[in-house]
Amino acid sequence: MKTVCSYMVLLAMLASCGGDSGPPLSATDIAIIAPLPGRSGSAAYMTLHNGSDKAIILHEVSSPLFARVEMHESTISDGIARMRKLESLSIAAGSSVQFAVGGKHLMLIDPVKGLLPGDSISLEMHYDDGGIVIFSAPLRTRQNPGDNQ
Amino acid sequence: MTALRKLFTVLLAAVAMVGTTVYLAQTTGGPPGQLQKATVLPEPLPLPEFILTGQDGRPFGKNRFRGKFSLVFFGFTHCPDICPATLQQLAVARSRLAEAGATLPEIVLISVDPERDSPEILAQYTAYFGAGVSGVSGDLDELQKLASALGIFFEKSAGDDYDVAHSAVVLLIDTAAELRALFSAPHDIDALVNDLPLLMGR
Repeated sequence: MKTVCSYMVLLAMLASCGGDSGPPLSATDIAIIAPLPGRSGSAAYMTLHNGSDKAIILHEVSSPLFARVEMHESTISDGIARMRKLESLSIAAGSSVQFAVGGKHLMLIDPVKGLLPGDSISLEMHYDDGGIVIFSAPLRTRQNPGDNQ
Repeated sequence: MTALRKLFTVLLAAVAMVGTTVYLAQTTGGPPGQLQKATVLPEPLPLPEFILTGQDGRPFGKNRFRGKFSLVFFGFTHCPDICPATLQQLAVARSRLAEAGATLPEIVLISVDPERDSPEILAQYTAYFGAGVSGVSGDLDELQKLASALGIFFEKSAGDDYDVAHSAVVLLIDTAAELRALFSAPHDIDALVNDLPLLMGR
């Protein structure tokens, strides 16, 4: 499977989520892909890391620039590609979960306005105790298919 | 259809197990001049007669494959992950073949989602991937006929916002409109660039 794209580390801008210890969730290698021509949806990839000492359960992701954001997982089993929606995602204490091509990914559905590569996109990660962490990264085109994008 | 697919899978497994130097089904890293990833059919499999619609709105049948090599992938434009990633891999491989002066295959996306993938949508979508990429779709029965003959599975899920499960394999159709070889997922650009000239002739 493809691995993390090493040359394009877009550091997440962390915001929100009060508490002196800072947000428990961080993200690296964020790649938010612009919708292709003729399409109103796209995908986003990243690596999420839970820096806290307890599990985090993500139950919703949203973005002000998309009508819906869903967590999905692609699988290829017996040569058949399938996709299923993840209603929630548990990230164990101190561990990471990778969203990558051919695996878990965020599905970005119906942008609320025209978007161009370079536009800043915010992704709001809602987790089980009511907290929200916001990650932002510029919209990019789907290139370098050997990378995690 | 499922039985046909199983039969085809068994056939391919048999091909892989033959293990001769002629029909290689290695997974990685063969020596130079040898196939790295492709599975070659012992005998090319002629495509059935079928009639679909090309992205230009014209009928697209078996004859559209004649006289050129084609890399065929069954997918759909609402697929946000595996389909665009695969098409991008094929497009990059094609670009690298072009740089090397090799024979170039056409890249054909056969949409298994004719409800949503009109010729206009397919034309817009495939243009993103550059020269030599086009889309085809059409009547579901015709799609099923072609897919079954090639050992391809697809199945639409329930609901309005549906997904379509589909085979992830890439097929190489030769100049006589026959299935010559296939590349199983996950796909690898280097392997495609290595294997395709060996399969197509330079």
